[in-house]
Amino acid sequence: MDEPRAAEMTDDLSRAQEALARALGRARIGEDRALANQVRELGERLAHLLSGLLRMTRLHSPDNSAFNKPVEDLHTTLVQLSELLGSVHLVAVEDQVYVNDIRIRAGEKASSIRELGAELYRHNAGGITFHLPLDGPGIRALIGALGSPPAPVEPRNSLARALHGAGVSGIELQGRFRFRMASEDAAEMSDPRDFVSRALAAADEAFQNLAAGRVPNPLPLRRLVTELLERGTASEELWADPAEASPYALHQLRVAQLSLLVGREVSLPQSVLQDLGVAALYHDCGYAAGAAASDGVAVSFERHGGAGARLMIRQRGFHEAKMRRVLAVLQHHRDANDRLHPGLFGRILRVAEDYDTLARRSGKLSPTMALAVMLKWAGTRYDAVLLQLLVNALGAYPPGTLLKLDDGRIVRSAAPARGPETFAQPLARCLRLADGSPAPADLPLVDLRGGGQVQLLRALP
Amino acid sequence: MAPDEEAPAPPAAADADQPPPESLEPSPEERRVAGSSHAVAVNAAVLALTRAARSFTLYDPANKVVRTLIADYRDRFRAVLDGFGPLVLEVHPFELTVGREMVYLERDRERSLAFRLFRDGVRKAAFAEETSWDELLRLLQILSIRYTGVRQQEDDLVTLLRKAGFDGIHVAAIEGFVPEEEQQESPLDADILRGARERYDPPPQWDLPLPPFPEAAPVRYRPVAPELLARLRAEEADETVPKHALRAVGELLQAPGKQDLQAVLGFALEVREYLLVEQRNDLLVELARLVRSSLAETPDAAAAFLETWLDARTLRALIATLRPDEAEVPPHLAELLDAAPGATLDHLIDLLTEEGNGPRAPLLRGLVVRGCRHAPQAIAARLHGAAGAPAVVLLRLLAEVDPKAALHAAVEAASAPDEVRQREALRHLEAAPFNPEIARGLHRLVESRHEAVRLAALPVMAARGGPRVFAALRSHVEKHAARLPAAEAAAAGQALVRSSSRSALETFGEWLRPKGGGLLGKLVKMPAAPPFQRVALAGLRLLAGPEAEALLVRLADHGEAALRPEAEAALAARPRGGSRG
Repeated sequence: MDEPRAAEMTDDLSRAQEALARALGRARIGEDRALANQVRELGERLAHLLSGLLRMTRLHSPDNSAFNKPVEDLHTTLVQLSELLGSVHLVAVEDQVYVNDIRIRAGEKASSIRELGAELYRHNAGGITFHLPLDGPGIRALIGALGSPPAPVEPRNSLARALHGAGVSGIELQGRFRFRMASEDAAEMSDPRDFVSRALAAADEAFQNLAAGRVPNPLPLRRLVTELLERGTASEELWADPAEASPYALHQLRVAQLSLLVGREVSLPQSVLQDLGVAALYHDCGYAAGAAASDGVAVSFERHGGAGARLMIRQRGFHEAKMRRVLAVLQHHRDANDRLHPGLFGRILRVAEDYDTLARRSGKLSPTMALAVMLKWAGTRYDAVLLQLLVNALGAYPPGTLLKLDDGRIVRSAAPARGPETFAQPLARCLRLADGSPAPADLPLVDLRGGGQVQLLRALP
Repeated sequence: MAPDEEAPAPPAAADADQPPPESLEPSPEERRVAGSSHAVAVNAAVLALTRAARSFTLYDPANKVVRTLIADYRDRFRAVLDGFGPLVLEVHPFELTVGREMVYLERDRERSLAFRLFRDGVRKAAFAEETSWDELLRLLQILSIRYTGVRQQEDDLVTLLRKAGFDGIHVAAIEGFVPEEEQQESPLDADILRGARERYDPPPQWDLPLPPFPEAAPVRYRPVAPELLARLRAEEADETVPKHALRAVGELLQAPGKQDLQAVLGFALEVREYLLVEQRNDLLVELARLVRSSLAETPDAAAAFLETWLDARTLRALIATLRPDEAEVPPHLAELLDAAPGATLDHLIDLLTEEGNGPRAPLLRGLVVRGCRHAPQAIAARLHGAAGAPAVVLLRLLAEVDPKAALHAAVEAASAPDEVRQREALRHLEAAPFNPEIARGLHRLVESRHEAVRLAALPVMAARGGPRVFAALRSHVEKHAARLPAAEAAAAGQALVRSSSRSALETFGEWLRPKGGGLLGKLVKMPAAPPFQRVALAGLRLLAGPEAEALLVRLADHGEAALRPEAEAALAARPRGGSRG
């Protein structure tokens, strides 16, 4: 090997060692080993106790005194897990069991884990969510019902009704799951409505957990953001407002979607986009601090940024994503031209948040008008470049905008702009036919490209 | 999937020049892969990856062994990709396969790369021929974090792989689970079982009302210049993170509501950890100053924070920023050291003892002496439990800070079991004005169990104590004469003379002349045992005069056979009339 090449390779190795040292150092300072161990151990105990109890039902009735000790242990475990995690999600997928996304080590008890999955599958269930820790009678009723033969029709629903009849509450039976591979094409991905539903549930759970004084757990939100980035934002369902959604959770999700639209326009790297998305899903979390207020007074608008940042630092260990969240949550209402100039995340969130509030929550302005009034504040309240990027990404008629076409049909813009050339010609959902009658739900989206003039509507006539 | 499981021991320091330990060597099972040349080459590459990823459980990343293993990983993967083209590894619970060929097998879960990948949800890893070294390195980083058992809260393997933004490496991994209903069931009333979980909701009109927006501007597409986008991206570039971290601390401290100050200060300490990892020592100081200025109204809280902030690693990092020949402590550092004097001094002493005679020793000594202004008793307290070389460093420091206490400590050190401390004690006692306490110390050294110390202490005791210590010296000789090695016997004889030549001569006479004039006296020509003769011979060499000469003659005539020639030689060497003629 010639000398310069050899020197270059040696240098490569030095750089590699340095990079590895930093990567490991960063990882180590970001861990909360005590919490992770506690959750894992309790999760394992939950899975193994439940499985053991189910096995015992083959020999004894659940009211047998042999159940006393394991039932008591299971109750204690659920109480401890609930204190740490809030809702406890036990999910069986193929031959694996997860408790709040932490894989349960099977070890020598692999058959016990498999059996737990099999018991749930018999009832066409893939998981149980414990919203509240079950008491002794509740646990006995649950294992009694799970250990019984499944109903021939709709076994999961029958199980739920049986449990309801036995006075069990605070749990939820989940359907069956399959693993989703990161390599799956978008087409193979689950229904976007399912994604929205999961994302809303996760955002709501994150808020409830903070309100209950628990430590933030950003990983489930990061997984959602990763999935959202993979899906893209073009799907109509991602911009629809589910009727049953919690307003808070929907706002968090929508601000995350809008922030990621802007982040993508900036061509932020994947890791920064992930951090931005998670920060957006948490951005108004400061209001959760009101739950713990001794005087019972809700957190004010002025204080929610600082309160949210302080909730974020409850998570132990340094991670740059956490630090970015802290700053973003602190600064997300700060004007772009403030003396304390907000950071990039804060400025993006400000644009996304105000747009969602104006265009959707206020009910006073159409999405297009929301952008129009915000543009007047470009360079003062809002970072002019970021606002323009939002405009470019959403188009002249952002999702949700009601338009009257020149043939009389009324449509609703369904997705963000597809590009500069179709900036003012989005894909749209037909709501009313030309004669004013409701449009069938299964009509394909209308491509307004090449169409005529459109008229902006504030509301359906 | 989620952070996982068996945590190996944290990395321990290992000798860089040692060969890799057995735990890094492939097991027989891992090696047992036969098949095509492609399979064998892939096996070698995978083993190299495993060894490199595992190495961080044993070694510091900067270790030479790690460097060798990284180079091996790089070279073997390159050889596979260059020699055989793209590589697709299928991941099974304990095996890796390429096509139908098994290229890796290990059933030990702790060791197995396949198991770890499978457990983390990886099912396939494909490497394009043009996969760059940078990408291979990023993959190694991710796997190393998994091998070291760090439980990440923020990431899992899949999010890490996504963040890595690979072009040449494609990993198929389980990203999560999604509902999959083979038997659809009708929707059930959602709340049938949920129960009434306590909820908290934000105030209904949170964030509202917005400020007025009286005017509007046209909504138009406007391209944004690439340089503006680049400027925005630069705001969140990796190198900006330390500054942002500092800003986050500053803003949290300024935000209204100080009721959770401890949590904010805890965050500040996390930022310190990060700055240490990033080796941003410049910002470490800035962080401390920021906290200090933000807590100006609560100086106790500021001082408590600084005590914690300025731990041994932080201090080490700060000291590393100074030039070894730095004469003065820079004001910014002095200010912080003064603000947290308690813990600092201890850490500085640790650093100084570690440094030994290294290049930064003078600087560190200066810092310790400076620190002692706040806690003069700190060194003496530390010295109490110290031994060996650190005790020597401390004793020297104490001499600079408090000479009186140092002498007292030196007297105590004279009784210490280790030679290095006794020698240092001797150095201090030798230089001190003589008094009974010093005499006690010197006497302990003369009684030392280390011959070298005794040899060094004898002349000092004699020179400093003079006639006052003669009795002690004589007593020492008489007590130990039977065991005195030749060199020490000689030193003792000389010491006796230096202490008091008159007393020494009388003593030698007592030893060498027959006792009484009876028959026994006539029969026993030399009453002194050989060790006494040796002590006397050494002393008599230094003494002039006929009396001394007579004793030498006596030694030459009646002394131990081995000493007679020496006595003869001593007589011959005397200036005049020194020989029997």
